[in-house]
Amino acid sequence: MINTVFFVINVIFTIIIWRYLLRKSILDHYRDKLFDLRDDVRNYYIANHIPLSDETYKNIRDLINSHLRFTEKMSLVEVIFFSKAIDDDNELKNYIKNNIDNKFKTSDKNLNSFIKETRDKSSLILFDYMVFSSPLLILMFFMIPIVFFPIILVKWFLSNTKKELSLIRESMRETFKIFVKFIATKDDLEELSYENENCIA
Amino acid sequence: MSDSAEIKIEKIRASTRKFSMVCGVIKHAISIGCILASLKILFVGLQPFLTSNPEAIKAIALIIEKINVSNITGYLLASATATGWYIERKGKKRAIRQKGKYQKMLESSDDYRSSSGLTKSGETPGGKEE
Repeated sequence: MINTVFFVINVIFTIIIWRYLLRKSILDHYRDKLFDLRDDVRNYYIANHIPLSDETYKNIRDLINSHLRFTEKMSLVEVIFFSKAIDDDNELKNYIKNNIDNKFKTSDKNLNSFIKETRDKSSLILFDYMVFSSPLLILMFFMIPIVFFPIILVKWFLSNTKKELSLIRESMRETFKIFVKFIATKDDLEELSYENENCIA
Repeated sequence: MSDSAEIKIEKIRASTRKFSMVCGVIKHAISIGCILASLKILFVGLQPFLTSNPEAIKAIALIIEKINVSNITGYLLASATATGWYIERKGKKRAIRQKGKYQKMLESSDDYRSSSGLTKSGETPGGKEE
C-alpha cells in the first residue's frame, strides 16, 4: 500500500511540475517563435523598402499579434469544433477564405509568397503549441517514431545507409502536418484567432 | 452574403464558446474527482501506520523507513531543478522586459506599430506578473 501512496505523491508532483513549470516554458517558447516571426516580417519590409504603412504589413502584424494573444487560450477541441462547423458549409468556408485572403492581397509576387510563408509558419507554430501543451498529444506524437522505428531500422540494415535514419524525423513531421490538415485549415485558425483582435491594444 | 455570413460565423463562434465551456466544466469535474481519489488513496494508505501505532513519532518513523535513498535523491534532484528553472525564468523575464523597452524605442518611428497586448514580461494580462 505504501508504494501506492508514493505513486500518488509522485503523480501529484508531476502534475505540479507540468502545470506550473513546464507548460509555462512551452508557452514562452512558442510565443518567442511568434515574436521572432513578427520581427522577421518587419525586417523583410524594411529590407525591401516596403513602407510599414502598407495594408499587408498592418494585417500580417495584427494577425501575429492576435496569435500571440490567442496562444494561451488555444484549445484543440475548440479549434476542431470551429473547423468542423465551418466545413459543413462550403459557402461560408469560401467566404472566410476570401475575406482573409483579401487582407493580404498584393500585386508584388515576392511579397505575396513571403506573406503566404509567414501565415503558414504562424499557423504551424500555433498547432505545434496545441500539441506540445497537451500531455496526451505529446504522448501520441512520440508514439509515431516507436511505430515507425522497426520499419526504418529494417530499411537501414537493408540499404546500409544513414540517410534512412533521417526518415524518423521526416515521418514525424509529415504525420504532424497530415494531422494538422485533418483537424483544421489555416483559414479557420486565423478566423478564430481574429476574434481576439479587438482586445489588442 | 456578407451580413448573413457574419451572422453565421458569430453563431458558430458562440456555439464554439459554449462547447468549450462544457468541455472546461467536464475537465474540472474530472480534475476534482482525481484530486479526491488521490486524497483518499493517501489517507487510506497512511491509515495503517497511524492507527497501528499510538505514538505518532513511531508512525512517521515507519514512513521514513520506507523512503529509500534513491527516492530522496530523486526529490532533491527535482527540487534543485525546479529552483534552477525558477531562477533562470526570473532572469529571462527581466531580459524580456529590457528587450521590450529597447524594441519600443526602435519601433517608435514606425508608421504602424500594433502591440501583442501582452504584459511587459510577455505574460497574458490578468495573470501574475513575473
